[in-house]
Parts: sequence; structure tokens; C-alpha cells
Amino acid sequence: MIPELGQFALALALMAALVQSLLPIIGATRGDRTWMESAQTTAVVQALLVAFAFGALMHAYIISDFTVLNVVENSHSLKPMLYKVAGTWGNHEGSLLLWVLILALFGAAVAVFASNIPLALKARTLSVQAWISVGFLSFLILTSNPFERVFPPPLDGQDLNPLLQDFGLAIHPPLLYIGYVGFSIVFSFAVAALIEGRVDPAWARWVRPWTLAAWTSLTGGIALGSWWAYYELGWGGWWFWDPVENVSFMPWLAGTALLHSAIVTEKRDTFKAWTILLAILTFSLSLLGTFIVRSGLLTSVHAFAVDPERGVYILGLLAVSILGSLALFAWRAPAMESGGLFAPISREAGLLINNLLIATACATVLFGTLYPLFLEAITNEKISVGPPFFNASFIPITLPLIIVMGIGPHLSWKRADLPGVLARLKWLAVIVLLATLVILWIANGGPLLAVISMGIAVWLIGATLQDWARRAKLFQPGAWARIRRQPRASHGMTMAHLGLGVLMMGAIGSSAWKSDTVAFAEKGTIVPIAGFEIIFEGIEQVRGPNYIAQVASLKVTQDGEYITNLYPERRVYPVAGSTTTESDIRQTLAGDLYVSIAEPASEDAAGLWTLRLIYEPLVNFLWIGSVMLVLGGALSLSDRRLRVGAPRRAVPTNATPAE
Amino acid sequence: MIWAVAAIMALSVAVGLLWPLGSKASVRSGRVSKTMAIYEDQLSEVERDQERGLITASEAQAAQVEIKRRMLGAGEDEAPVAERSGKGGIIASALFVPVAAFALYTQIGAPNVPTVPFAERADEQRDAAQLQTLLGELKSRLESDPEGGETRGWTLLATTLMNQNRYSEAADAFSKLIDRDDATSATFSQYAEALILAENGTVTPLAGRIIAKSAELDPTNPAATYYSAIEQDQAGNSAQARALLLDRIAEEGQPAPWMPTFLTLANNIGTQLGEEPVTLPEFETPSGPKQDDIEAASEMSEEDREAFIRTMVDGLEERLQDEPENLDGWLQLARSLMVLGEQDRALAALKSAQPLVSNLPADDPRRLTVETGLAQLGFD
Repeated sequence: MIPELGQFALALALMAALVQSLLPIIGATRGDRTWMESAQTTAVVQALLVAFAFGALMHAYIISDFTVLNVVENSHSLKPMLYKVAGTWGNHEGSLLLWVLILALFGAAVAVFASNIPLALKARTLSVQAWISVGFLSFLILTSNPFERVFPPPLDGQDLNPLLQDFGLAIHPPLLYIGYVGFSIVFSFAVAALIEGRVDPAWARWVRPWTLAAWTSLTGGIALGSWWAYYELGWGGWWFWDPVENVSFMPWLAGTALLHSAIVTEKRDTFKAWTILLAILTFSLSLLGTFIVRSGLLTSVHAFAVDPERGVYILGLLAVSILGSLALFAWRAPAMESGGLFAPISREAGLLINNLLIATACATVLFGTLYPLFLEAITNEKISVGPPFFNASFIPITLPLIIVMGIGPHLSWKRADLPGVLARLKWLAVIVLLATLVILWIANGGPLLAVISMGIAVWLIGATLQDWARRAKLFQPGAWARIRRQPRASHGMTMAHLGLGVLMMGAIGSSAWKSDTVAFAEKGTIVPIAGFEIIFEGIEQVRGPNYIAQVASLKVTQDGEYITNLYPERRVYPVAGSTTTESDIRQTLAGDLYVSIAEPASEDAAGLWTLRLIYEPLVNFLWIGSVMLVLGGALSLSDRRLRVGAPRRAVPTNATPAE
Repeated sequence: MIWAVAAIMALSVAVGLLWPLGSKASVRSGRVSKTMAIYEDQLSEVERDQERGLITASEAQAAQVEIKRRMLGAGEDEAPVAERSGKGGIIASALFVPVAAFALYTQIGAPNVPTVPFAERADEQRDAAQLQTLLGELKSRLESDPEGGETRGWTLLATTLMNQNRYSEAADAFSKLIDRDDATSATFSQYAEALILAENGTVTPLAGRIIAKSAELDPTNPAATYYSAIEQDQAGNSAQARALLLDRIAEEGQPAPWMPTFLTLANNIGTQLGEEPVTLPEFETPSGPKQDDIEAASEMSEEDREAFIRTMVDGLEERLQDEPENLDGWLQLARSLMVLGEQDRALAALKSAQPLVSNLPADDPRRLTVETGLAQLGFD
């Protein structure tokens, strides 16, 4: 009965969303208060209904109710409970249900918490949000019903893949989706503002917490996915420029640009059309990602063409929402008068450069992701656009961005004093130069671009710290009190910018100075890597709860001195009939030593094992930097106060207290 | 029960949708007052920044001027909006949602399918476990047999394992049979099928050899042709694979139960090659009534019709004396005679068909028809 009630709840939710998509927005046009207010209740009702449906599906997974086809296909009675629960969203139908749930939850959150927003704007926003809900709920019910039933039920489920039973994988999609789908509410705010024909600093202020929340969880979701790939897949890489990664990275880039452009709108009443456009594009990229991942386009363009029902439906949704909102934008945006003026050297200009560079970077990724798909569709030729393309195109765009990023926060609004700022930063420049030389010396050569990039990362960290110290007047009495009184958003900015610098160091270090060896080892073999010696001491058979493992024992020494022992494993699961590789890692701040074993090199070479050794310098900086980015977002989110641009006078050196 | 709970859900949703009718007007809900609140907040923020020494007095003043200019530009709140004029719309929506949801649910739902938690299916699991035990016992008995175990036993084990999708174990069981004297073409093709399914559809070299053997023993075994076509297709000879399938259909010259499967595969391969899909050829039903005859029969009186059918049946029987290999003809004759109540003649027809099906696989529908027919008529 419960799955059927879930199905019924979905039907109710679709109908409630239909009502919500019409009544409030018509009410806003007619000035009907009751109709506008109805948005708040329908949004909450809709969220409760979808949550009920999601709970019903999860219940079916927990009790292993194999009358639900979705459970049959994606679960098994012998799975550990955690992965039964996670199985709810680990498949097409369930993950779409989660998508719709998050969509509805964001609508309900605006209905309940956004009490400072004018009723008409709120009503229009929630109606637009409901349009998206109608699209996806109907997609779910008509083409991807999670509550499809089978009777009599099969004896047991079909999915018992040990590789997919991983904690990181279980929580990665929900986090990613909160970010992805969170941008929907920002999109709805933008479309509502276009319909209303009004964008002002107050609008930007109302939208900010929602953008920040979406951005923060998207950041966390991407970082977690990368972390999972690094630790679980056992390939020793953390980013592959894989289409699935790219489609989550593009909304992140656009969302980052949006976050910065919205600050200008909020403080200086300008960049309005651009902010709206970014809000539309960010969510459009999220939709594009959903389409690419969910339509099966990635496996093969032709597989998609053979069974196109789902893909065509999402493509239709994509076309309607993107083209519709862009058309609305083209019609309404020219009417938006620009507010505050600013000089070519100012905080505004700095943020403009930031936006242009990020947008270009995002376009590059978009091109690299879509080009192979188009090529395959047209010429039938399958190519993959990999790291060489992205390294050659993405990095040259981001390096100038990072340099400007260090200077930007030092500039004041409206009109900044560039010579003054540069004079302030000249000592830092000297330090960065010295640091770069030191890195060049330590790295003993290495790719020049990597050394320069390292220098730029040091520059970003130094400049950010200097800006923070200057604002706090760190070396004057009462600094602690000043730090505490500063708005949290400003600390959040510092934290996030520092985080990016740290993350950069990790990214550069682990890709430019990575060492990678494959060796055939027998008892006593010594393999040197990155200044360590790895001594293969033998293999031992170990019996686990549901597997048999061959555990290699490796001794690690450096210059003859004992460092540690590592025990990589190869596990065979007889019941599931599969094998997994469990690598072992020695983690330090300086770098990770990553070892894994594969099966014996060949059948006749008994006792000879294949060892894979990787040394990734600074790789942990990636995760530290990511945590700092998320913390920065969370800090800013906890600051509800407004930021108002305080313009400097034309000649700041002559500034004297007025009055 | 389910309808009661669903009705409660629908009712609560309707009540929820009616909620706005009972709410009171809030004091500051208009755009301008909300915007002013933000600007006032901004002004006090500038003051605080100045007190803290984050910005100079002149900077603060410039910022305040800018914010105040925005406040002046924000204008006046619009006149109080209409109160509760839209009662009708709200009530209509509260009615619409449950009714429309019920309508949709009746299209997509399956209200009679119960929830069956895995934990409550102990009986079923015990039965399944018992079957496993029996299979295990059968297997060990066959294996311990010094003479290699009965052919029937291994066949039973293998086909049961196939039904449980345990293909590689089924392949093991079939492999015991192929060296025996009584191994038929069907034994080989079933073994090949198990091998191929165990490899998720890939035709391994071993499976290829088994298919060849099966075709050698009986070139007309459709399963052998089918799997050789798959083998050819996987080896890159898609055009040949397709031709193999279509030629076999053409050779048969009369409808057969395996033809739709052949046609689907041929057309799937054809799509990859860019060929137009083909349909089954129009077969001349070799011995059945023609369309005209059927129409003629339907216009007759009851007696006339039976007499007519008897003529048809007698004609068929006579013709079959000349083509004793026509299995489908014999089957049709037996069926017609059963309908006419002539059991003896039906039995004779089935007996004529019996040698023709003895080489077919045990689960071939034609063989089953003959065997069950003979059993029904008391002949075994």
C-alpha cells in the first residue's frame, strides 16, 4: 500500500504544482492578495507531498519490497542497510525524485523563511519555480515512474555491486543536487524580476542567501565527488575532465560569477542585466547537465537515438526553459536602467574582469564537453576531449583571473587608487618572486608553467591575507575586537579566496610533480619512487567477512630510514563474483604515497606481483582548500547584514574627516 | 484501506490549499515598504562601519547620499490590493487538485498490488532454498555416478539452472552431455546458449565451435542458425549474419514460431547497416483453407459448414500422404479432427507427426503439442 500512496502523493504534488504555477502569478498581475498568498501554502503542500513520495520509495528500499520494480533493479536483500537507503537515489528514477524533492524544498523554504520579500515578487518567484516542478514531475510520472510495480515479486533484487557500496558515493549526489537544483530558485527570482520589470539593490539582497546556499553545497558536492574518485576508484587521480564532472563544474563557474556580479548589483545598483543573465545561465547549465547525464547521451549518441523517449522529454524542457527565459530577457533587459557609475579602476571594474574571465572559462569547458557529442552525432566519429585540451585552454584563462583576484579586494568602490594599491602590494610582489625562486629550486626544474602557477597561488594567498590584515589593522591595539566586529561576509570572502589559493597549490603540486611507477615485484624487490624506497615483503591471504583478500606487505624507507608499512589489498567477493582493489595511502601534508597491487604479473611467474606506486605531492591541499571554500560560503551565509559600497573620494590621500 | 488513506491525504491537501482564505493581511507586504526596510538597514550599516573606523566620514557621507537617492526613487506603495476577491479561484483549486490527482492515479497506479517486505517472504525463500538443496543433491548424485550420470538427470539440472539465470553452472551441466552418443543438435545449441548467456551475450570461441557442431548435426536447427548469426555479427560480418537469418526464414517456406525472433535480430543488425527493416514473407499456408473458403464457410448453414470442413480436412489428409514430412500440416490435421470429434483419426495424425518432432528440443511448442496430444488421447 505504501508505494501506491507514494504514487498518489506524486499525482497530488503534480496537481498542486499546476495550481501554484498559475494562481499566484495571475494574482500578482491582478493585485489579488489571496491568490498571491496561495503560493506559500501550495509550495509547502507540494514539498510535503514530494517528501512523502520520497519517503515511501525509501521505505520500499529499507524493507526490500521487491514488488517495486525500482527496488528490484537497484537493490538486494543482502546489501548493508546504509546502501539500501542510499540506493533510493542511486538510480535514474530515484535520483530524479530527489531532484524534484530538492526543487520543491527550495520553493517551500522561500515560502516559509523569506519574510522580508514583497508579496508580489514572492508570488511570481514561486509560480516560476512551480513551472519547473510541473515539467519535472510530469517527466517523472510519465517516463520514469519510480513506483512501477511487479507482482508476484521476484525472489531477490539484482544489484549487489561492491564497488558502488561506498559512503562517499552515497552522499555525493544529494549534495551535488542541492547545489545544482538550488540555483533553480535563483533562476525563478530572475525570471520573476524580468516579469516584474524591476531589478534593484533590494532584489539582489533578497536573492543573495539563496545563491550562497546553492553555491556552497555545489562546491561541497563537487569536492566530495573528486575526493571519492581519488580514494575509491584507485586510479590516483582527482579530476579527469570527464563530461560528468564538467557538467557539474559549469554551473559552479557560472554560479561563482553570479555570486560576484550580484554583489555589485546589491551595493552599486548596476550590472543588473548581467546578473539576471548569469542567474538564467547558471540554472540552464544545471539543466543541461541533468539532460546530458540523464538522457544516456554520454554512453553513446546513438544509444540515445534508439530509445529517445526520456531524452527528448528533457530536451523539450531544456529548450522551453532556456529559450523562454532568454527570450524574456531579450525583451525586458534593455529597459533596465543602470545605476551607479564607476571608473575603469575600481572594485566594480575588478569584478567585471572576474566575470568576463570566469564566463570565458565556462564557455571553454562547455565547448570541450559538447564538441565530442556534436561530432559523434554528425560524423559518427567518437573522440574524447581530455586533459590536454582543458589544460591548454582553461589554465591560461584562470591564471590572469587569480592575479586580478589578489588585487580586487584592495580596490575601493566607484574609483580606486591603483598606484596606492600597487605600492601597498609591492613588498608582497617581492616576497612572491622569492617564493617562486625557492619553489623552482626545490622542484629542481619541473614544468615552468607549474612553477609560475605556484607563484601565482602564493600571490593570491598573500594578497588576501594582506587585505584582511589591513582591514583589521592587525598590528595596532584592539585588532581582535575589530576582527570580531567585521561583517562575517567579509571574513567569508577572505576564507574562500584563501581556500582557492590552497586548492590551487594542491592541484598544481599533484599534477605537475606527480610520480607514477608500475613495477613487477617479488619478495625482496625494492622500488624507488620520489625519494622513497618501497620494499616488497610478501603477500598474505586474509579472510574477511564476505571476501578473501591478498594483502601485500610493503616497507617504506627514505634514505635507508624506516618510515612506515603499507598494506594494499586485492579482495575477491565469491558471492558477488567480483574483485576490488583496496589501495593503501600514506597521507602527509607534503604529499600522498599511494600503493595498490594487481593480480600476479602472469600465470607462470608465480610470486611476481604487479605493484602500482604513485606519489602525489600536496594533494591534501585540495581537500583543505575545498573545506575552506565551503566554510567561506557558510560564513557569508551566516551574515545577514547588508553590504553597502562606501565610495572613496577622488583623492584619498587628502581625505580628512568631514564635519 | 488504501482508498481511505488516500482520501485522508487528498482531504488534507484540500484543507491546506484553502488555508489562504483564513489568513490576515500583514502590515508591510508591499514592495516599497520591504525595499525601504532594506535601504534603512543599509544606512545603519554605513553608520556602524563609520563608527568602527572601517570607512572615513566622507566615504560614509557619499554612501549615505547614494542610498538616500535610491530611497527617493523607490516611490510610494501601491494602493492596498484587493482583499479576498479571489475566493472562487482558491476553492476551485482545492477541488481541482484531489479530483485531478485521483484521475491521474487511476491511470498510472496499481492499487491492488500489496506491499511485500522481504522479511515476510520466508516461505518463498524456504521453497527456493529447498529447490537449491534438491538441485545440489541431484548434482552430487550425478557427479558421483561412476557411469557419468543419467542423461535425463543432467538435462533436468541444466534446464533448471538456465531458468534460474545461472548460466555458467548450466553450461557446466550441458558440457557433461556433449560427448555422449545420444547428444543431439539441440543438446549442442542449448549448451552454446548457456555459454553465450554466461558471457553476457558474447560468443566465445568455444561457443562458436559448439554452434558449428550443432549445425552439423542438424542444419535445420533454428537455434544453431540463430547463434551462428550472432557469432558472425560479433565478428564484424554483420551483412552475412543478416543474410543468414533472412535466408533461413525464406528456406523454411512456412510460418514457424521462431521467425519473429529471427526477424527482430535481422532488423537490429539491419539498422546498424543502414538497411530498411523487413517483414516476414507472406507464406502460402500450405494446407489450410484459403481466404475465399473461409468466407464461403461463414455464410453456410451449420450442417453445410461441417460438411464443407470435412471436405477440407479429407483433402488435407489425402495431400499429407504425399508429403509425410509436413509437420505443420499433420498438426493442423490433428487439431481439426479433434474439433470434429474424430479421435482415432486425430491419433493417427499425431502418430504420423511423432517421428518428425523427436529431433526437436524438448521445449519446442510443436513437440509439446504432439506429446500432450498423444497423452490426452491415451497413447503414450
